[in-house]
Amino acid sequence: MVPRGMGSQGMETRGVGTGGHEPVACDVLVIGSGAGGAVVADRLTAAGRDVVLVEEGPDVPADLALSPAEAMRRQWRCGGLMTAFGAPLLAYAEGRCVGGGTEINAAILQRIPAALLDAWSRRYAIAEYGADALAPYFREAEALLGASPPERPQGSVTTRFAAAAAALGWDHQSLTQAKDGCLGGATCAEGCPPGRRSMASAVLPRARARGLRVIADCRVVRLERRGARVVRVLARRRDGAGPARPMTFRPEHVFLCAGAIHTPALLRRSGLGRNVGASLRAHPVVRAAALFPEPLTVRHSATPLSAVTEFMPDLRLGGSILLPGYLGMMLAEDWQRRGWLWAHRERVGLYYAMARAEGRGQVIPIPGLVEPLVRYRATDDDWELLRRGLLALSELLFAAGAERVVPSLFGHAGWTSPGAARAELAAPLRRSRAGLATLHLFSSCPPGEEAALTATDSFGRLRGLSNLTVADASQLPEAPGVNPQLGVMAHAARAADAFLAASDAQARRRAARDDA
Amino acid sequence: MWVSGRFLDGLLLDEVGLAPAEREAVRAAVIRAATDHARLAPLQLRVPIAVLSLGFCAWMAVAGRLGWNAERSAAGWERLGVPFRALTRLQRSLALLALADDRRLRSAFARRA
Ligand SMILES: Cc1cc2nc3c(=O)[nH]c(=O)nc-3n(C[C@H](O)[C@H](O)[C@H](O)COP(=O)(O)OP(=O)(O)OC[C@H]3O[C@@H](n4cnc5c(N)ncnc54)[C@H](O)[C@@H]3O)c2cc1C
Repeated sequence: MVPRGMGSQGMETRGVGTGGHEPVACDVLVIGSGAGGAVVADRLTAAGRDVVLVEEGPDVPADLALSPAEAMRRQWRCGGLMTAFGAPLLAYAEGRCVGGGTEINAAILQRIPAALLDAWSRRYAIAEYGADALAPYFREAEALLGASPPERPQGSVTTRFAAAAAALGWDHQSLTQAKDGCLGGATCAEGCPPGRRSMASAVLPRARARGLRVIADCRVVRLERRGARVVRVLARRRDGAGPARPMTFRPEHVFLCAGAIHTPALLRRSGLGRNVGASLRAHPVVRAAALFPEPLTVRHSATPLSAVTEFMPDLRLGGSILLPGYLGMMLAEDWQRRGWLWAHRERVGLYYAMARAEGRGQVIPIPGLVEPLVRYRATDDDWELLRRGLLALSELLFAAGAERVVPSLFGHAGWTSPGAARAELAAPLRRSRAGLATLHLFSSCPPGEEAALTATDSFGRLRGLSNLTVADASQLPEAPGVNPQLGVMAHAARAADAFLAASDAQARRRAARDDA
Repeated sequence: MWVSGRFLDGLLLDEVGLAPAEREAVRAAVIRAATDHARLAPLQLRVPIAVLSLGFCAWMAVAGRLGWNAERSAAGWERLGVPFRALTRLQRSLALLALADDRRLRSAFARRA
């Protein structure tokens, strides 16, 4: 445990809580405002609790139309330039703003497959868990966000993909999105002022109306414990361009919802928890740019809203967001080989194969640095999955009429026929050439009663502490093989309900004792 | 930040079709935006990048004088585990992102919708 008043991180925590200001008291402090934190704040305020939500990132007005580069600078952690170390490096991204990742994501909503939930329930001995237990939470989250299939007509960037899947006889489906009258502005990743339903646009406003206090630009740096309780939460708040100022909170209960990287980082920094931050999982993707004979249309969504589900849960194929900046970044990774495609960008689509990987990562806080070090290592089986994924993707794209398919393998000029792709991909992928990336991170504080494997109990309560609950992506026991936001929301709502039930029961016991 | 001049000029001329005077202004703005963006990278990435960038520039100067193919000599170093090409990739990516943010290019792309 860190001695009181002394920062474990030197530079970061210096002066926090010693500046003579009043600590902020509340029933519940929620740390992080993404898919987990916003849902928790919504549920607890509905139950009449006094809740404060702190968010490290800025509160970006919903109607502010940002360009992709501006959005990356303002709403993405470190401008989107995060990397997990390993061989090869794994590029990853997270949101850092009020609403978290839900402000910058493609708002695709998918339920975690029932068979996986049931398997996790057994493997990790998670009480009151499984497909049936989570179904009502999925339904509720879908209703809250207006989950609906894509509007028609879709552009050819999607229809070509879906038609090829049908021609190959592969299962595929339209992806459901959180939206409220999509206007087809193709601005999902830029906050989509008109149509997308995110935490900031659909969930936090109603919690605010019930009294939720949101403090943006405020980063929690340490949790202080006395005995089995967190007694103080130390933070630093940035106000304009000036230096960050210390802030202290004295909550009765803490919900830690800082996401799969920062929840374990904060716990480790604070010297709390076991099995924390050592079992990070991800969905690594390999990508491919496909050159078609005629220009593609995007209509309604720059994200192709069709996915091949034939190989799920292990592999899913789909399309990536198609804006000039994103296409440019993919090509610029290996400009020497891929740069020429820029001139033909009207005819280029971006697609991916996503693996439900078993590889693990670690989150390691570094004294003096805000960002923890993240390490990730894919297993041999994961590499085999990625190879199969790239093979299936190339088959599909050629079936869709692509003239050339350029994979995210450095130094690769691309294939001009399915036979060429097949011949090369008969051998394992050369790992040093693969450009891996991920947008989906989880499992760094898994739940369950199997103490050797898990960080919290079945409902997110951190072992050894009576007043700290984890409720974010770090609670998904393993990679779900689907877009995780809906699963994160369902897990968070379940954890909030468990907290409310336990605290109500405690209040009743106290009242009975007082009566006696 | 080091961004390949040829890379940017090619794009500005071919793609955005700017007049030479205007091109200089856009080029400077793109480099500024990409540099600002790169500063957002976490310290654990920036420190090695800064050190390697210096090393890279020095190496390229020497390699250029000796008449060696720059890309090949960078590839050689990379085989030894020094990610020089990763640096140019990052810098080009950011420059392209900033360039693609240019109004003219965005509206050209929007015609796809
Ligand atoms: C570009 C992108 C596209 C994606 N697309 C999809 C998609 O289409 N569908 C889908 O289901 N999922 C998608 N995802 C993933 C999804 O957004 C995340 O799984 C989800 O947001 C995770 O929720 P969370 O609450 O765990 O964390 P987050 O949403 O990341 O929220 C955590 C919040 O905590 C804040 N925080 C962190 N540390 C601190 C601290 N110390 N103090 C205060 N605040 C802190 C962060 O700033 C952040 O805002 C995408 C992700 C990205 C990045």
